[in-house]
Amino acid sequence: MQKNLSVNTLQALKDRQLVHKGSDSSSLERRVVSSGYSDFDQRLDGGWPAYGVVELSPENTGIGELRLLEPVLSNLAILRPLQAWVGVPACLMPSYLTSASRERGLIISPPDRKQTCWVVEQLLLSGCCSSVVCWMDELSPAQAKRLQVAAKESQTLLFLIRSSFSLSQSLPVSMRLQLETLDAGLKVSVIKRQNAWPLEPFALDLSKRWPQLFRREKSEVHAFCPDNVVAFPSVNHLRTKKS
Amino acid sequence: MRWLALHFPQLQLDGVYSTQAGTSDKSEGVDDNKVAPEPLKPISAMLVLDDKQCVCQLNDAADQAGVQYGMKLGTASALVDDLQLFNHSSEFEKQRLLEIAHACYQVSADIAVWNSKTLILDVAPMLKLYGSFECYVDALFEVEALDDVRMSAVIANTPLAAYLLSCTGDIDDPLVEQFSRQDVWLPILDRLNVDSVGIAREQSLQLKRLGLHYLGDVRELIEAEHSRKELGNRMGKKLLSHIAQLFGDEVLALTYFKPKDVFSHSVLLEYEVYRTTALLFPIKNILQVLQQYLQRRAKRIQTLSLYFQQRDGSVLSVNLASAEPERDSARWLNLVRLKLESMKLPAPVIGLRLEAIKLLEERVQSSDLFDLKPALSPGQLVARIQAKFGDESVKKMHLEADHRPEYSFRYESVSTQPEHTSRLNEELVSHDSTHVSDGECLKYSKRSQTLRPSLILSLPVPLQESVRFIHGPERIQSAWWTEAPVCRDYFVARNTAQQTLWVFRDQAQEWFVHGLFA
Repeated sequence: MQKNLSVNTLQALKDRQLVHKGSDSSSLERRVVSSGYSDFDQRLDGGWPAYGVVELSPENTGIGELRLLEPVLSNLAILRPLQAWVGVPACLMPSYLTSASRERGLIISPPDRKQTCWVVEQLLLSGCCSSVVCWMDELSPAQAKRLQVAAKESQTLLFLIRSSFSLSQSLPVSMRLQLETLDAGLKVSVIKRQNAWPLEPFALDLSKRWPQLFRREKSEVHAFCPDNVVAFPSVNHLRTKKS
Repeated sequence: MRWLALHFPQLQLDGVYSTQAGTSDKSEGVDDNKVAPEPLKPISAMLVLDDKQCVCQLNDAADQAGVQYGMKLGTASALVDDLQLFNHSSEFEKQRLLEIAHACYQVSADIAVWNSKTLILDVAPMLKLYGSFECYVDALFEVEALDDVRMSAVIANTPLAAYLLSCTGDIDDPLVEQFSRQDVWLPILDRLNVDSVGIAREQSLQLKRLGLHYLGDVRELIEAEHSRKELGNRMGKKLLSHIAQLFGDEVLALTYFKPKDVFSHSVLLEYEVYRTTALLFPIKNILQVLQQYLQRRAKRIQTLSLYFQQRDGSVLSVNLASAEPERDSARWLNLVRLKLESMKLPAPVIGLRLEAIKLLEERVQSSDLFDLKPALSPGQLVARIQAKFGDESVKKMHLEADHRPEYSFRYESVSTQPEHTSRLNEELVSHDSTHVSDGECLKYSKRSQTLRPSLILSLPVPLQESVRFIHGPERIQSAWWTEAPVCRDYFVARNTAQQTLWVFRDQAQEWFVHGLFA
C-alpha cells in the first residue's frame, strides 16, 4: 500500500512537471535504431526512429518490404522481446524471422478490419511490445495521431504497411517511406521525416544480404550453384574476365 | 455455552439487486454520499410467493400498502396495483445463506447452517478473542454482507432456543449478554405455541389434543420424573430429546460450516434484462465484493464464471480468463465488458451468479520506480484481446521438424488457461523454447533461411502470369508414407509487377504460386 502511494504521488508530481528525471534529457535528442543496412543508416542519420509510427508504402506486396524490416526487428527483439504482427495478408512463415523475434512473436488476426486500429492501439498502450507490424489501408489522420501518441508514450515502433494508392493522404507519423523495386534491391523515397528534411530517393542494395533472390546475370538461371558444389576453376576464371 | 442465531426471514427479497438503492440500505433509499440524489421513483412493492401462491416475503412498500404474510396473491394485487412478483426459490436462499456464512466467517469461527434461513454461531469460544460480548456483536455487525439483509439475531444458551427465539421476533433487546441467561428467555419460550417449536405437525397436534397448547405446559410436565416418562411413552423418545435439547439438558451436535476456497455471489435482478450492457451494473457490484474477498485472503484469480439465469429457466454460462492472476475489480470489469459486448443474450436474464473457483496465491512483482514500466504485462494484453475477439485471434508461431513448407511451422493460439499462463509470461519474455528442440529445427530452418518466403499462402494458387526465374529449382519431396505426399520443384521468380514469388511445378507440370518474398 505504502509503495503504491509513493508511486502515485511521484506520478502526480511528474504530471505537473515538478520532477525532472535524468533520463529525460536523452529524449530531447533524436533516438534512432540501426536498420542493419549501413547505406540506409548513413542516409537517414542513424536508421529508423526508435519509436513512433513509420509508414511504409511498397508499390506492391512482396517486393521486399519485410526484408527491409527483418534486421531492425531482430535488433529490437533483444531489448523488449514481444513483437506483434497484425492483419498479416497471408501466413507469416516463421523461418523468415530470426529466432529471437520468432519465439516471442504474436500473430493477431482481428476478425474485422475495422477493429485493427483498436488492437494496434492496445498493443502500443500496453508498453510490452518492442515493435508492431501492421497491414492497414484505411486510416484517418485522427486515428494515426492516436497511434503516434500511443507509440511515443510506450516507446514502441509501429510499422504500418499500406498500399501505395493511399499516398495522397498525409498522416501525422514519424516517418513515411515509399518503396519501389530496383534490379538489386529497393528504391527508397523518404517522403516525410520528423525533425528532418525529406530525402532524395536512393537505391538500397538488398542483394548482399539476400544474394539468392537477386541472381542477375543472363546465364545464371541454368548455372545455379549450390554452396557445396565448387565451380570448375577455368569457368570461374573466364567469368571474372568477362565481367 | 452461548449461541447466537441469525435468522434471515426475507433472504430472497433482500437478494434482489436494486438499481435505486444499490448496496445501501433499501429502506433509506437515498445514499448519503450522493450530493444531489436524483428524484428516485418509489420502490415498487415486491412479493415472494410460495408454491401455494401465498405471500411469504414482502418489502416495505408492500407492507405499507397493507399486504400481509400468508395473503393470497389475489388479495395482495387488489391492495397494490404495481406489484413485482418472484417465485420462492430455496436454492437461491441457500446460496445466499452460504455467502453470508462465508462473510461472517471472517469474524466468527464456529458457524452452523441451521436451515435455509438461519445461521447458528457459537459465541463462547469467540469471547476470548473479543473480550466482551458487546465487542463481538459490534464486530459481527460490521460485516458488510449483513448490511442489506433483514435479520433477527438472538442469543440463548442452546442453539435450538436461539433459533426458536430468532423466528418469533418481537423481543426487546435480545442481544445483551443477560439475555443468554435462561431465566430471561424462558418466559418467552414458554409462551410459544407448540406448533412453532420445530416438531412434526402430527406431534404438535397430538400435544394440543392433550391440552398442551404452549411450550410452557410441556416443560412443566417434563420437569417431573413420572410425567416425563408418561409423555415419552405417549409421544416417543424423539420429542423428549427435542425438548431436552431445547432447554439444554441434552447437547445437540452441530456440524460446523467449513468455508471452501470458492467465491460465489448471486443476485436476482429487479426486472428482466435484455441487453448485456445493463448487466454490467450488478456485475460491477459483485466484482467489488470479490475484490474485498480476495484482498482479505491475499489471493488472486485467473478465471471467472458468470451464470446468467434466463427467463425460460435455462442457465447461460460465460467463462472468462485473464492471462494473469488479477484482483482488481476494474480490470475484471473491463474483461467482462469486452466479453459481453461480443455476446447476444438468447433470452432475458432474471438473475446472475458470479463464481471464482480457483484462487491463486498472490505473487508480488517487483517494479522499478524509475524504469519505463509497461502498463500491462504480455499476459494481460493477450487476455484483453482474446476477451474481445475470442481465443483464436492471438497466435504464436512454432517451428516443426518437417521439410515440407506447409508443415514446417504451426500456429498455436495462445492459451490463457491457468495451467499454461504461469508459463505464458515467462515464455513470452524469456528465450527457452518448450517445443521441438532448436537444433532439430535449425537443421531445416538455417539452410532455408534465404530460400523460404516470408509470406506463404495457405493454399497455393495457380500461376497465371509470365515470370522470370531467379533461383531454382529446389525439389521438395515428402516420404511416400506421409499423409499428404508432395513432390514439387520450387523456383524463386519475379513477375512483371516486380513481386518476388515462390512458385512450384508439381508432378503434373502445373504451376502454382505458394509464397511471396515480401
